[in-house]
Formats: sequence, C-alpha cells, structure tokens
Amino acid sequence: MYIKLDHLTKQFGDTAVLDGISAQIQEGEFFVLVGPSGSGKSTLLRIIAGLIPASSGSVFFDSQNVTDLPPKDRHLTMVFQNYALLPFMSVADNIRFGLHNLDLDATEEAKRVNDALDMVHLTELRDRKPKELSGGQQQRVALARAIATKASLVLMDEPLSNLDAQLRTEMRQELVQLHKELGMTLLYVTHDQVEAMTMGERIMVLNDHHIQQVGTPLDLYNHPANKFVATFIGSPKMNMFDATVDALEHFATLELTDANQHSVRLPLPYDLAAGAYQLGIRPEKITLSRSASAGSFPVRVMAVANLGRESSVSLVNNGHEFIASVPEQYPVPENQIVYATLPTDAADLHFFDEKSNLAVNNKGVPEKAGVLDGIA
Amino acid sequence: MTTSLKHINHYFWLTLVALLMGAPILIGIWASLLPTADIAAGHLTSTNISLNNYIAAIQTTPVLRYMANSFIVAILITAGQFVLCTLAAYAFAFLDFKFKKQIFALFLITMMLPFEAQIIPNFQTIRVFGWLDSYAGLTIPFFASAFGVFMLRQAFLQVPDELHEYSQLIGLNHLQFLFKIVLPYSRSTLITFGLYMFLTHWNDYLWPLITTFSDSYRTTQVGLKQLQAQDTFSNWGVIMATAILILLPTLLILLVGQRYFKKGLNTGGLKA
Amino acid sequence: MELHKNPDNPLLVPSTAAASTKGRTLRKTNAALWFLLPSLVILAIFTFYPMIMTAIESLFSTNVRGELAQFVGFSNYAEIFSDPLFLKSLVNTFIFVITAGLGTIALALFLASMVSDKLRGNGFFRTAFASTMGISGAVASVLFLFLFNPSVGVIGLLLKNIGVKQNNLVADPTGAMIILVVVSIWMGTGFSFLNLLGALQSVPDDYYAVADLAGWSSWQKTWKITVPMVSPTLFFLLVVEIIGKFKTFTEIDLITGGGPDNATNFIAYKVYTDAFGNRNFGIAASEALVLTAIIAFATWFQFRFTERKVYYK
Repeated sequence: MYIKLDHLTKQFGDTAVLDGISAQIQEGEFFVLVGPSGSGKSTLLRIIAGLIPASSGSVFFDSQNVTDLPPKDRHLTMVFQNYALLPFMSVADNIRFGLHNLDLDATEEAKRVNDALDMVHLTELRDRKPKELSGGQQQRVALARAIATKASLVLMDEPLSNLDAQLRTEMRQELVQLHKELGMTLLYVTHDQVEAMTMGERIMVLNDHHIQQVGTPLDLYNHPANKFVATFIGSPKMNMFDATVDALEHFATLELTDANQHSVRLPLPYDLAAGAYQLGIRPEKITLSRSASAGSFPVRVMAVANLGRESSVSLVNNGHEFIASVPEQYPVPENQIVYATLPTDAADLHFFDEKSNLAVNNKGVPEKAGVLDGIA
Repeated sequence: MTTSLKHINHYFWLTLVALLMGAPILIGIWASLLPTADIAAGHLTSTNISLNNYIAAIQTTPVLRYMANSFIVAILITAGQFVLCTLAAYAFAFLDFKFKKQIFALFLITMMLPFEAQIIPNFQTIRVFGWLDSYAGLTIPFFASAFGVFMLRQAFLQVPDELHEYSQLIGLNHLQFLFKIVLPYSRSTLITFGLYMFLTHWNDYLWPLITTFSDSYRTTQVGLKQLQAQDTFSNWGVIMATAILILLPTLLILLVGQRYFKKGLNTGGLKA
Repeated sequence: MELHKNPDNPLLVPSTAAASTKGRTLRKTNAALWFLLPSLVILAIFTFYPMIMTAIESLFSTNVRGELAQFVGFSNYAEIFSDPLFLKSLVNTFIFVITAGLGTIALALFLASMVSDKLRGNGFFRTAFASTMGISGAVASVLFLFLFNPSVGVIGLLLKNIGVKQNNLVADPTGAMIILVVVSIWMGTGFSFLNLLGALQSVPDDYYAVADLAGWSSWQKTWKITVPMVSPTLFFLLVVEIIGKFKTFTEIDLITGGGPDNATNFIAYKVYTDAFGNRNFGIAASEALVLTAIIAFATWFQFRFTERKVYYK
C-alpha cells in the first residue's frame, strides 16, 4: 500500500501546525518523519492515522481517499512513545486486545499472539503484567501487538525515545530487521536525526510547519536543500561561513583571515552570481595540520572532544568559531595554533542563498524545497 | 536523653493521645457490655460484662430494620451515583461538545449550594411525587453528584492520551472504551469513590429525618434519635449497644478502605 | 462484541476524537448529551429548581402549608436581620465555626507531626488517629451524650468530683457550646490528620539534607521548610472545615436541640426549625440564602485556591 499526502494543512485555532504537506510514500518503505519538537511531525502522523482531522487537503491509501475514514477502518496499527499498554492486562492479553476489531477465530488469534511473542522473544514473559517488565520489554510488547495485527501500514511515534542509549541502538537494528522480514509500510516519527539516518530508507525533514526536504539519508547529507536541513542532519553540525562571491574573479571571500591577516579566498567550484552567501562545510571536510601549507590558515584550538577513534576540534579564527572532525585521537592542548585547510571539491562546498536559505546549484539558481522527492 | 529513652517517651505520649482520641468509642463499647443498672448507678468499673444489651437491642428495637434500610439506601445511592457520575465524567474527560466549559461550571456551582438551603422545596417535590417515606425519596435526589463527577473526571484524565488513541485505532466505541479501558484504569479511584459515597450516605441524617415517618423506611442515624427519644436516658446499655452496632460498618469500611482513602486524598481531596 | 454493531445508538458510536465533517461533530454533540442528561435531569429537579424556589420563597410570605401567600420583597431579609434571635444565631454560629475549625486543624497538625517520621509503630497510631473519620454525627452525639451525662458519664462524674456545681453541661449555654465544639473537633480530626500527614510526608527529604549541610537548626528547618511546604494544605483544610462546620446539624439536633436559651441554635438548625417547626417558610428561605451566600463564598475561595495549588504542582 502506498500513501499519498495531498496539500495537507492543519490549524489549531489560529495557529498553523502544518502547511502545504504533499508527499508520496512507497509500498513497503521504511519512511521516517524527522524534525525538531513542535515541527508538526506527530500531528502529521495522527492525521494519517485518522486520529486528528486535517484542516484541508487529502490523504490517499493506494487510490482510495481515506481523509474522512475513521481510524479503525484504515487498517493500520500504531506503536506509541509510552507504549500505550493496558496496565491491568497480561502481555499476551495486551497483544490479543490489539486484534479486537479483526474478528479472528480463537485459534487464529492464539497463533498470532504466539507468533508475535516469539518474534520479539517474549514468550516466557507472556503472563506478566507490563509493570513487571523493563522499558525495553514493554516496547517489545507494543511491537508484538502491532506485528500480530499483520497491518500493511504501521505508524510509529518516537517508539524508542524512552529507552536508554544502548538499548536504543540495539532496538534500531531490530526494527530495521523486522521491517525487512515483514515488509510492511512503516512510517516512523522521530526528533533524532541519527535515528532517521540509520533507519530510514527515505526521510522527510519537517520544520516550521513545512516539508524541508524528502530524500534518502545520503541525499539529505550530501545535497541538503536548504540551510535548515544542512545543519539539522549530521553531527557535529555543518559549519556555516559568511561568503561574498566575486563572479568575475571566480572566487568567494570568507570572513576568515590567513597568516598575513588577509581574507581567506576560495576558488568557486561552479559559477555563482555575485553576492552574499552562506557557505556550508562539513566538519570532516576540514583538514588540520601542525604546520602551515599552501591554502591553509591559522586557527586557535578552543577545545577537543576526544571520542576515541575520532575527535571534534573546536576552532576559532578572526572571531568565528567552527568545528573540524579529525579521524584520529588529537592530543593538542587548548589555545595551540594549528593550520586548517578548506576543501575545494564542488561536492563539499554547499552554498546557500543568504535571503532564502535555499541551496544554490552550480547554475546559480536556488533549488525548490522538496523538489527531490515531492509529489510528481 | 538517650535514643531509646526518647523513643519510650515518644510512645508514651502517643499511647496517651491515642487513648484520649479513642476514649469515646472505647468507653462506648465498654458501656454497651455493661448492665444498664450498673451504668445508672455510675458503676462503670463493673465487670459484669455480657452481650445482653446487643441481644436486647436486636430483639426489642427495630435496629436491624434500620440498618437494612440504611444499607439499601446507601447502596442504591452509591450505585446510582456510580452510573450517572461515570457517564458525565466520561463526557467531560473525553468528548468535545458545545458549551462544555459552561456545563462543567454549572456542575461545579452545585458544589457551592448547601443542601440545607434546598430541603424545603425538595420536601415539597418529594411530597408531590408521592415519594415521602420511601426508598425512592431517600435515594433519587442524591443520584447526581457534582463532587463525584469532578473526582471521576480527574481520574479519567489520568488515562493516557495514547490509550485513547489506541482504542480508536482498534475501533472501540464509547461504551467499550469506558468499560474495557477507562474503568479498569481508574479502579482505585472507583473503589475510593464507592466507599466514600457509601459512608457518606450511611451517615445521612437531615433528609431521612424529614422524609421518613415509619420504621419501614427509617434509617439508622434517624433511628438512633428515635430510640434515644423513646428510651429517654433510661436504658443506656441498649442505646450504647445500638450505637456501636451502627458504628461497626463504618469502622469496617475505614479499616478496609484506609489505603484507598489515603490515595484519594493525594489525588485531589475528598469531601463534598 | 454486540456493543458496536448498532451505529444509531449515540453511546455506541466510535470513540473517535476526530471529526472533520460537520455530520460527525453533530453526532458527537448528541453523544455528549446522552452522557450528561441523567445527571442534568437530577440536578435540575433536586438542586437548581429548589435553589430557585428557595430564592423565590424568600421574597414571599407563606402559609402554614408552605404555599406562597404574598410577595413581600426583601422584608423577610429585613426581618431576620433585625431579629435579635437570628443575629444571636449568626454570632454563635461564627464562634462555633471558628473555634471548632481552628481546634480541628490544630489537633490534626499536632497528631500528624507526632507520627510523620518513619518510626516503628507509627503506622498503628496513624490508623488510630484517622479512625474518627467517617463516624456519623448521630453516633458521635450518642457517645458524647453518654460521656457528658451528669449522673452516669465519665466526664460528667469527673466534673462533679472536682466540685463543678453545674456538671450538666448541656443545660448551660457555654457548656452546650463547649460540648458541640469538642464533638465537632473529635469528628473532624481524622480527615484533616490524614491530609496533613500526607503533606508532611511529601516534603522531599533533600530539602532537609540541604538544610543539614548548611547547618540549620531544627527551629529554622521547621519555619523555613516545613511550614511553607505544609501551609497550602493547612489553608485548604481550614476552608473545608469551615464549610463543613457551617452545615452542622445532626449534633445540635441530638445533643442540645438548639438550646439552652438558643445558645446553640446555629444557622443551619434555625433554617430547619423555622421551616419544619414554626412553619415559617419565607423566613426560613431567606435564612437559607444567607447560609448559601456564606458557603458559596467559602467554596469559591477554596476553588480558586485549589486551582492554584494544582497549578503549583
């Protein structure tokens, strides 16, 4: 089953929560809705579920317009952040309860419950009450309840955010695996971009009531459509520099200074109109060395976060702070002067229009948000 | 002072205060076991204890009938309130409708209006309905309770939104959601509610005093006045035995319900 | 699952919060009506109607059967406020309410602070102190009538033995008032005790730990931590007790009958005697409205306050 969202909007009173949401989700896709809190992603999920009415626009499941269909008739199931388990029912009964409106016969019901329990490895705990389980186990019960319905669409609302960090990483793998085995369409809401990147086949980034971009994880990382996506995806965040483009001379002047107190200039990788831009560069594309070389400029080390196999180095030059990621341990003391080199590859330099914040491609025309995978 | 001495001191005072607080009941129980002759002579230290007063109370007074009446009345009111308050509280907790705020305010306003100021017209209403001296007259006026609605609404609001959403996904209708999720979820508040309402109406006095005229419908509390008036200060033993009999269900409920009452206090306070 | 097979019954429509179409909103409004109707009908007949009738009756003179005779405007009110008996009743009611209210809270606070820490055996005493909660006015009245009885009661005999001439307190205006106050405190303590105990125990231990680290004395700890933390509960209870004691009826009816010399003819009792004793319904109705005004004000005060308390949580 594929899903089509057609110009959905939602207002609560006078407050706009969602505006002009159009997208298409493919059958069997692991599709992630990601955005900061308040971006409307949970609201969008609930509109798709039918729990909240849209103010305008339509939702299609395959070719059927389901906009006015009550949730129970949409043949979907949902996994919630706080699990939504009934505290007074055993694990098995909770799962059976989820089959309420399917009108299954007793044998089929029992089989579904057993299979689902087996799938999430909770068969031994079937008679426990949710209270007697750990958070991770409770989440597995919620998953099993969803699995047992065999719904072809599963919605998940921040299902892992109440788990501790290590368990969360494990559960991500399990969810991806589960999706592979069962092949349902999976809509997954999270505020965590790492979760989105590691799990999603495609990702919709929401912010400020609007779709910012829809694409595969690498699309978003390599070709962010605007400044928001550029800084939201990736950790540590993409650095942003003020840049002034001189079209004739074909270079960009940054507000950074080299050893001679001259402004740092970068040759343009493609043609750009003259004017003011924001230049985004990922931390791992900035190289550091102890000695000066052609094209490098001096920076002062403010702090080093050693992560073991890599290090994030906070740097300052001419009052501008930025971060370089170094793929090694980096035992340099604070206030030490080192030399930074910026990349020159077209793929590593992301220019954003100063006014619209949209990415500009190598023809100098701002791209439209969502154009990569919007509604065709 | 050493710690253990301090403790002994602490327990000494506690015991003393507890005895003082319990004295009216303890002395009442003691007196109920003594022959009236001994009481009348001021011999409270008599050791002639027996259950004779209780036997006499049961055989010579309608106390059991009174208790049965009170039991029926309190149960009917509790059940009636349970149904009506649950329905109203459900609407306020889970439904959207026009004038919701205003209607809720209307319910709350009734908590500001003392029943004492309504008894005259209510008496007339009951008389017109032909409900004087009947279970209907004793119970139906109390079937609605703003306090009960308020208390249950508070409890219902504790049901997580996600469970409400889930129930819609699996297609529960209002009554299924109410019975399968909301009520089991609010179990401890419902028990508190039931015990509290039973106790409150077991203790009703003014309304039964005005509207009952016969032993067939007279309730315990009013019955106690009746017995006391008939026996004017003569048969203390039987009067005390009757009072203790009437007190027993109360003490039983307090003992059983103690942890629920404590919980109820923590979740918003009890007292109509 | 027969329940959800009949979509025409408003109670059985899906419990959906969503309602994008007008039709669905309408159906939901209907459902709410069915849920509320039973309560609204009972309230209309037995609360709002009588309240309005009482207000109307207070503007009329009435015959002995309680039927409205003649519109008299506010002269019933003028009459009661110039009636020394009513004014006396009002003053005595206030004396009773304040004394019994403060006494109840003070005793409850004392008891709660005695057993609030986790010493062994305190659980037993907590149960003991809470046990007066829920005892009926009638039973309490009989128990205390016995205690204060001048010839057979423990206290009556005690008073006699220490040489009190008038040891029949019920026959003495001040004595009768004292008995009612004592009974009222005894009955009310359990409820306030449980509340205060909860409040005392919910003060986080961390606060005291910080105070200990800062070297505060126990006196400082009491005044700077315990009192501010418990004072919302104290205030709440005071209002609740005051409202409850304004409605005192049973104990008066059974112990003093409003006497002697109308010393304990408190307002709720006076409404009853004027209506069902003197058959003066117009006067009783205006007295009832004065009582309503007092209680409505106190309740409103409590609502406002509870709202704040909840908010601060």
